Formats: sequence, C-alpha cells, structure tokens
Amino acid sequence: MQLLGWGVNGEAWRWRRRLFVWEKGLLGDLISLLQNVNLQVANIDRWRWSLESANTYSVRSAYKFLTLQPPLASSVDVLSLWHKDVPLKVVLFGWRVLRDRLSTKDNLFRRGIIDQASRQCVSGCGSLETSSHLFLHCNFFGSVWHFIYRWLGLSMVAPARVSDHYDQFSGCGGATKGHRSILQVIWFAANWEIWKERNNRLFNGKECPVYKVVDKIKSLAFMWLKAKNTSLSINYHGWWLSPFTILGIG
Amino acid sequence: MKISWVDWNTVCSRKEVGGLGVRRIREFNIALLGKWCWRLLEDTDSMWFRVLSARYGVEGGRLLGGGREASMWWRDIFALCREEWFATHIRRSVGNGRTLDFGPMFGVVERSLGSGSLDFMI
Repeated sequence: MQLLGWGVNGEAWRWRRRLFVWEKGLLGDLISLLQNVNLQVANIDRWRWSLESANTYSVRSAYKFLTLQPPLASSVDVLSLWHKDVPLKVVLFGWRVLRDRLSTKDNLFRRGIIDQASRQCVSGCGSLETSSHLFLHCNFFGSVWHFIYRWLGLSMVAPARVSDHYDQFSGCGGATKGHRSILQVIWFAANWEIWKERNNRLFNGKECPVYKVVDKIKSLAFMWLKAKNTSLSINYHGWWLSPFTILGIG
Repeated sequence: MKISWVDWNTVCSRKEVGGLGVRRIREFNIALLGKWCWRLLEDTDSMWFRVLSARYGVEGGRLLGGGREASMWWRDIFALCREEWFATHIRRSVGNGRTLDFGPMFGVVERSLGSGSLDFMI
C-alpha cells in the first residue's frame, strides 16, 4: 500500500465512489497518522500477543488473565507459606490453620457436629477450643511458645490471632531472609506438633509434658532443614543450644 | 459425614492471592483452546489452516466462520477467537507492510510513535 503512496492524494486512496464529508474527515485522520511511519523493510508483519513479553501466545498467560481476581482476605504473606523445606502436607496444614479451617472443637460445634458441652479444650484448662486458643493462648499448648522463645533468645507477646502470630514470629529475628526462612520452619513444626499432641490427647488418651513437645519441635525442624539442605553445616547439638549462632546468622 | 472446610473458589485461587492453586479447569480449557486461535493466526502454512481456509475461506488473512453450516468444533473455536479476552490482546504489528490492508478486519487504534511503527488492534 505504501508503494502506491498513502500521502494526501496518494494512489492508495482510490475509491469506487466519492467520499462523504464525514468519511473525508476519517481519511484525513488516517493519512496524518500514517505521515511519520516508516515501514521496516527487514521485518515482516506479524501477530503479537500482548500478555506475554515474548509476544507469542502462552496458555499460562491466558489462564492467568482468565482467573484474575482480588486477593482473598488474609493478612499474611501468602507466598512465604509455600516453604521449600517444609513437607507439603504440613504446608497445607498451616494454610488451614491460618484460614481457621481446622477441625477444632469450636469449628465442629459451629457446623453442628458436636454439642456445646464438648467444646472444651482437651488440656482441661476450661476454655473453648478455638484455633487461637489452641495455638496461642492455652495455658498448656500455648506455653510451648515460651520455651521456643527462650530457646531462640526472643521475647514477644502473643497477638490475638494465629495469622498475626505467623507474621510476628517469622519477622522477629531481624529482617534477613535466612532468619525468616528458619523461623517459618520452626513455626510450622511448632503448630504441627501442637496439633499432634492435641490429637493424641483427644483420641488416644496419651499425654506428653510440654518440654517433650518442645523437644519434638526442635528435632522436627532440624530434620526438615537438614533433609532439604544437605550442605547445611549444622549439627544437632549446636542446633539444640542456639540455632541462630550455629547457622552463622546470629 | 464429610465436612467441606474450604470452598472451591478459595481452593482454586492462585497461590499468589492466598489459595491452593488448584486449576480451574473451565478457564484452563479455554486457555488451551486459545492456542488454536493463535496458531490459526500465526501459522498460516500449517495443515489445519490450509484445511480450514479451503473449507471456509479467508479474508484479510483471517479465516471465515462459515456460519451455521460450519462444524460444531470450528464454530466454537471461531467464536472463541472473537471473545473479548482473546481479541483485546491480539495486535497486528506492521513491519514491511506487505500484508497491510485497511479492509474490514482492521481498525487503527494504537501507534507506537517512538519507533515510528504501526500496531493495529483487530
């Protein structure tokens, strides 16, 4: 078309009939748009897909566009949840804890599974078994955290909600990525062991004293870290005494 | 009784927004079918393009729909190519202008002034 000439009165603009006035206006706009265009002889005309930087279609980009949605209500950094050192089933467990979708007695009661009388926390503390009670405020289960804090040399006051606690706990060791990552592993291990201890008490009638639960948390976190980072130079003993010092990020 | 703890919308939300990232198969299927639309634009030497252009015809470089006579499959794909999510993300980038034609298929919309090149939205 350009060869024919697309300037004013160019050969490209030959029409079968006379143009109406409004059509002349449109043509004028088009001609002025084309005025400064230089065609690139070396490049062929091509299609582009604007959702990919490579400009070619991808199923991923289309799927992403088709499922765009506002974030779900959640206060935590949701991507940090998918921790590479934590087993997937425990990640999913943590996901449910943070959404309060675990079968705590309070949740079962709300769904009409158990009656009001059996809503009490299995530790015998007399409170209702909600997730924030079980994982934070219970005199027995919640006290696990005091031992964990002491072990890590931290001190903090438990917030009202489990999701706030996840943020607070994983952010409390200073801002470094390494710290964060390890604290997240410990958070998962602690919640996991608390839940297992709760189930053991509830369904098997077996009880562990709190210091033993804490020991299990320390070993579990150590095993997870060691399993996925074979080059990690920590020994069990050092981890036991002071995990951050031994990792050289204290 | 099995309790549903989490609704499907949450389960199927992407991990970035706090879901489990399970695929929504309806949308995923559409995204996969979109690849057909793309190939039929881009890869005009392909056997499928040649079959469809022989059967239904081509105008301005694009296949025609064939109306009610067309096969079910082609009607679906053809309709998909005209759906907004696909059509709004397709551009014709003009290089040497060999295929340039201000016919019915094109509307001049966009122009990147810096490079002096032309982009069209279909």
